[in-house]
Amino acid sequence: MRVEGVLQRAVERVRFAMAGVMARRVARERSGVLLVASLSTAQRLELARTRAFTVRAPSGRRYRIGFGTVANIEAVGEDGEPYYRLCAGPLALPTPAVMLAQKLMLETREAEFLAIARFSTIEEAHCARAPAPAAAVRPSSMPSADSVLPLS
Amino acid sequence: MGAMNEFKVLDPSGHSTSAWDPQDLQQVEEARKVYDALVRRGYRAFRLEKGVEGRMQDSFDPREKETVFVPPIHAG
Repeated sequence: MRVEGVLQRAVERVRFAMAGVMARRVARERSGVLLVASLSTAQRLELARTRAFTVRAPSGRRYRIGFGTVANIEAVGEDGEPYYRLCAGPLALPTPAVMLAQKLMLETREAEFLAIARFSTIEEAHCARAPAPAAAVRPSSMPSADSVLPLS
Repeated sequence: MGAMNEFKVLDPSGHSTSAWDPQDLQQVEEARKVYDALVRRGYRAFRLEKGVEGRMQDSFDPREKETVFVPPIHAG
């Protein structure tokens, strides 16, 4: 009887975990549909090709949003060369929903987003530096990584 | 009933959608309350047009067909 009880609890736990996996998959698919619908044709093609898409912010600066939720935004030059990474987004959302939020913020509220975001070099996998808004929001051509990420 | 407007609120399920009739004053008033409540909680509102850049919304506009609400942004 005791073994049956243990087995039953194990089955319940697996069932519960599978329901969570299914719910997350459905959520990812739903938010993926909304993200793709909000992209231009060029962005859609870029996403299909590279799992990332590029947005232009009000300052004229370009950002590449990659598939992910952590350190997934690169500030890029006109030639596509990445300069530094940004980390910011809403919490507890499926990945495509985070990417949509980042897209909308960078396209319309760039200064606000940069004031919140953490920065890192392209080589770093995580963002550990405090915001550098004075340099980051300067509406000029792309700054060098050094001017945005002063060595400490 | 005319064409419905929609609020899409990004959440762990992807997004939750609520539709309301812009011709119905009572529904418009309810939509305004929802809008204001979300903004008070730190959500940002954006007008979403398929395939073009999103547009920021500073205040409730019952003419907007589709509004996306983004939860508060945090540093990663």
